[in-house]
Amino acid sequence: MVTLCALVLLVAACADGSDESADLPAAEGEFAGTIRLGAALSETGKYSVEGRDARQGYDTWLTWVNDEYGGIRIGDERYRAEIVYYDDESDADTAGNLTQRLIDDDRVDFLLGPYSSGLTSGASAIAEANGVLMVEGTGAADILFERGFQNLFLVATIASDYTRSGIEALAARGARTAVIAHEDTAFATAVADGAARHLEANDIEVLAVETYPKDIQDVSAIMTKFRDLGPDLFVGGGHYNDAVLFVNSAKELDFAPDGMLITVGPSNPKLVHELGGDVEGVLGPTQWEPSMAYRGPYFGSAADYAAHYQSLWGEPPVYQAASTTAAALALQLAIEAAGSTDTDAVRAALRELSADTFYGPISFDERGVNTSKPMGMIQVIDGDIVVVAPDDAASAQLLYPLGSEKGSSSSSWLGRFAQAVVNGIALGGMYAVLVLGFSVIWGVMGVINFAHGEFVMIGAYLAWLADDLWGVDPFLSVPAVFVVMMALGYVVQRVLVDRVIDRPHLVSLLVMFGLAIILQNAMKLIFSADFRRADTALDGSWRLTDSLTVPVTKFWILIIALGVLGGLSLMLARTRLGKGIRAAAQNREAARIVGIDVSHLYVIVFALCIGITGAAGALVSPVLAIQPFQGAPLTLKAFAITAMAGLGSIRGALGGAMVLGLVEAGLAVYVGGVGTNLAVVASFVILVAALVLRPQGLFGGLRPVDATAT
Amino acid sequence: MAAVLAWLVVLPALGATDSTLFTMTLMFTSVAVAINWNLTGGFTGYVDFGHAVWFGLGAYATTILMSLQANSLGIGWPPIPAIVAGAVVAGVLAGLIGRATMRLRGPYFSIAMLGTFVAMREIVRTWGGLTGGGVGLTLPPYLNRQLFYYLELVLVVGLIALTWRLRRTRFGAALVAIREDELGAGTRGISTTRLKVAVFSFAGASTGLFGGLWAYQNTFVDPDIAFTEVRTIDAVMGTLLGGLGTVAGPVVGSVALYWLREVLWANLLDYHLVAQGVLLIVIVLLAPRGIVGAFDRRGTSLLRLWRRQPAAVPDAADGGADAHGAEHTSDAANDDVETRSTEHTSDAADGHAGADTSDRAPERTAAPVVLQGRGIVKRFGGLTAVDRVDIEVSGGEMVGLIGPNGSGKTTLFDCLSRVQSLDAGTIRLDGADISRLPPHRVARLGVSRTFQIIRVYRDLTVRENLELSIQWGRVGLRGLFSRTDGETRRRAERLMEFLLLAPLADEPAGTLSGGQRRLLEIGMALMSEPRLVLLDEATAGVNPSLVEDIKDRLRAVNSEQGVAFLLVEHNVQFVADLCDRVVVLDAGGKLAEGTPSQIMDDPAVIEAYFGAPGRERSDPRGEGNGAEQ
Repeated sequence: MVTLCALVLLVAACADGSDESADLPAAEGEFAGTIRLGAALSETGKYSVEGRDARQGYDTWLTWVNDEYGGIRIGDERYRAEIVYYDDESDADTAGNLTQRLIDDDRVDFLLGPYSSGLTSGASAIAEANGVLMVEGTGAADILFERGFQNLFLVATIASDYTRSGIEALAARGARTAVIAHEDTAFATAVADGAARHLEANDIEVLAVETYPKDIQDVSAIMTKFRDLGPDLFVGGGHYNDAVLFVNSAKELDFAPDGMLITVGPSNPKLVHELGGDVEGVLGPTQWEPSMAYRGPYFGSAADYAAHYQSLWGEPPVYQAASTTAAALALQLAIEAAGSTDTDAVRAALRELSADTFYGPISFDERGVNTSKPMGMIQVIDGDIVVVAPDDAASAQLLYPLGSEKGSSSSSWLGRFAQAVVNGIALGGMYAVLVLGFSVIWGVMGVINFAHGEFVMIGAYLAWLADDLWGVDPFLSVPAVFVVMMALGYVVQRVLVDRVIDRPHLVSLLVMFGLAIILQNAMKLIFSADFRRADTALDGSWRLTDSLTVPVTKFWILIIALGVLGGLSLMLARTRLGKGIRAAAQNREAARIVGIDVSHLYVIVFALCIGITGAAGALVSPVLAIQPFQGAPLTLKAFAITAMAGLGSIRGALGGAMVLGLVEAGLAVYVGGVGTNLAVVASFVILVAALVLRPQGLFGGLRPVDATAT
Repeated sequence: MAAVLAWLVVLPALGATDSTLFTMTLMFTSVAVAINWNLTGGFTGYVDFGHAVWFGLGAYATTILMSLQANSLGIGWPPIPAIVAGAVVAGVLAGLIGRATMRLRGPYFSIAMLGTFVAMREIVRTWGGLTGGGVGLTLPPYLNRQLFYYLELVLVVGLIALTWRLRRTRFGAALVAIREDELGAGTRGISTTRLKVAVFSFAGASTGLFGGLWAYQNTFVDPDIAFTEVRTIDAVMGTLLGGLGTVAGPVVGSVALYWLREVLWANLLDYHLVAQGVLLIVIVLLAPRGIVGAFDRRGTSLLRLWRRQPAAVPDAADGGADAHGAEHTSDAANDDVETRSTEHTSDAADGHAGADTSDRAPERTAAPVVLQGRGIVKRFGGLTAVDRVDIEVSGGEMVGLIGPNGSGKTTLFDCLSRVQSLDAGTIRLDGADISRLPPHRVARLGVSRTFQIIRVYRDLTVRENLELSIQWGRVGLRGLFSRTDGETRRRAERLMEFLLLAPLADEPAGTLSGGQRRLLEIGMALMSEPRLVLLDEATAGVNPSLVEDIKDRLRAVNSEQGVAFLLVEHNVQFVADLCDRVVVLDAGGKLAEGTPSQIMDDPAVIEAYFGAPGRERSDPRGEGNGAEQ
């Protein structure tokens, strides 16, 4: 059916093209000249996916303007458009540098924006300094437009207005209180600050605002606080990953506000795919959807544009692509209105521009921001993403309230404390099983496994694959992942670790770091940088009292973690192998002398630990954000816990993990606003303090730590 | 090289576009950060995995000062003072943080710095009122690329010149000594903490300076772009690729990385990151000295960093009834004590080389007590390794310290040279209490030592080893920044002659035989013109023919220079031949004291050494290097 649709659309698009070609110049020779545009875009690095979408958006305009529209019209002449692209590697320095190159070396007439606010920031400063116009569709953070720049124009809705139409619609339906949580980055902060303003303007009381750092792995403390406040609305987000965490955590803690407005993620079909029913009813802003009722003289309606795009690229357009197409289109319209490529004339024309397009109305205010296009709001209804606001773009009725029972707002300090402890222990159990392999490899072999977090991620990906392909519950795939990861550990030991085992620690550390870089990027090439999450049947929460819930998934993780730790302890204490391992940890040479095959032992230990590490990754895959670059922070946490606890100490791994879990949960629950940020800092402060003050570790271990310089 | 520099100077005049200059300034920044990283990582051996923190701090401090106006807290600073102030902020914080984290070594220092880096980024993010939080701060755009091109060019060339110069000063040599053997460097009078923290602070300030320059040119900072681990990774990889511990290495390596990125990896797209990981592994496994290091012997191999020092190998296997802790630490415990009439006594070679110091006659006619320990106690957990021992050494005296394994000899040495702290008792030198001084201060007062397991700087030549072991107390700030002076070089020459090491002068110490290394270590102890030398097992592992040489040389130093010796020995004959007086330890306490012949006939000593009477006696003489190792 889908294929058939695509075919029909393709045919329609072709027919469309041939129709228009009647009044087009037949050959390129008829162009009076070329107008050269330039853009730095992310072909590689963390924005490579969005960068590709942005480029397809520009190219959609480019092929259309040259092949169908007949070139940019200046007076009676037609000019061919050309775009010079460079890959900015998702790096701000590089984006700035390439922008300079586009201006100096390629002598572009105008610039189109790179992807994201962060990259646009530096690139637009270069453009401003050189007096070159830049029109863009993806750098929407307010800070970009508070600099008084004369040469930067944004066709998309600015970040602070992301939630406006949604909040207005919700206020009209009776929402009266709200809480806000946002990632502490430029874009997310601008969105949240704007949301706070719009909430107040609509008489909705903001009960609390919480921030958290990028790459956060657990938001349960924030959600615990929010649950106790019992708000009508939850507004939050900043990143696709956070959307996953919020939805999971709300379910886990039995926090069910009347409306959940998540700023980034819900409009992405992947989220619905990943989270299934849990995401039902969730609201989110969107710059643009093909179903929106916008229409203009170019590309036709939003749906027409989507069809055109689909015919070119074989996939439906995401809003990033529509935004960049619209940016290029706005520039083209301004050039045509100005009747010249003179920068001042085109700038004036951009300021005067007022156009209806497939993307919505476009007109710029004095900052260079398109204020006439409202943001849309979507809601996940019956598993579909439908536009519910503003009214003139809506294709379905807003569902509000969601009809679930509200949390109690009468939480006692005791209940709050109990919840913090439960969260902390649950977190500690996760950390314990995640850190175990790292600690034992260091303790026994003296190898600091800097690729530890990557092995966790590989294990988690394997569990996710099993879930995605065959619907196997992650808890059930743990043993299989253990075996596969042991095999991988065996190979890594044989190929790499064995070569460096007798060398100083720095060598093995750097080699493992190199391996970490390889694994991260290999995973990204295989799985993409999208966040994944595995589904388990053991989810939800047990509500013990009004203010105390136990997350089911984390409870079972804790139980299994304790089992693994206990089993490994027994193995080390009781078995011949365990005794050999302890002997080798204490003194490699002495162990050799008494007839222990240490090399053989190391193979077993490394394979076993990688097996445990991968299995731990599979175990936590339902609650962990699975993504190629999420392993590195785990390695640092493992280091913090191990240094605090003692090398190879199993009791210590558990103790250290619990200490860290409780400190993080406590800080997040008890410190308002920035508590979660502080919790992230906590592990590193603990790490440095533990090393400096008590270098031998708190719990003793398989080998002396001996960290001091003299 | 001059051609490259000339080309760089005229590049803007050759019609290079702003974008070329921009590329070049970014490259200068990478080169500078790598040079700074190499100062602590390559020269001093402290591998900083969080170096980018100084870049971020410099960038933020500069931006905040420049945008003060916007916060109506005062007038925004002009760029240059703001950038300099940013460097100062980074340098001061590096000094404070280094003070704490440089107590750690090896991976612990590295990871503590990585933790500092991440924590600092989050602190900047959280402290929104000052830093703009995650949103960041912006500056007005500036225009003149050429100005910054030249500014950074001058700074980078200056940095290269500075490190080139540093490499040749005593300061640079002392940093290498810290890298090669920090404990040994301390006992030879180098104030290791002050020097390593100073260089760490300088590196922080310098990287902070480039952070400020970068921020000004970028016109925008937020926590993620100002504090990016990529800068650390690039610095580490550039330095390793170029050559750790060399002057040119970080420059060559960083430029090579830049070139690789531009030319080769551009075609690999996402695979280039995989390639970067592969490259790192290849460098580490196949080229641990780097490109420049292959030619420049003054560099180091990363295989040498974090190398387990002899003292750091705990021997659980032979722990047994022996005082495990005591023996473990004892490895590090040799000391040399000398009398204070330094010019004279210090230099064993003076006797041969003539009378250039004879005008400073020793004032030791009365042979006053030099070193005096009273009631020294040292415990390791439940074990009392040294139990209320009194010991004294007079000027010009040779005293032997003997005792069975585990009797606490080396621990006593460690206490006397302050490598170990005391649990009770006092140590006086010329009547002044030194019980709390750090090892380098003790050394500077004229007490030097050797170690049971030889601690020479194995990767430096014999000559360099000696030239590093000077009387650091007299060097002073100016001396620290000057080259090894002629007098030091002459003294090293004379000592090499005297210790029969002259033919090996330019061999790395690691290639010497055990006995030769022992001689070298004695020479190093003598270089600093000590009054008292603590010799720990001078004959252990030494070929018997060399034992005679050592004995002969020690006797010559003692009689000609008046240097006092305290010797820990297993070789009882050696002690009997050399010493005026012998102290016997058993189970941590003093068992006997007297002339060698008195001791040899003391029944208590015989029993302690050979067990209860009637047991078969083995020959106590000549077997110095027994089971204590």
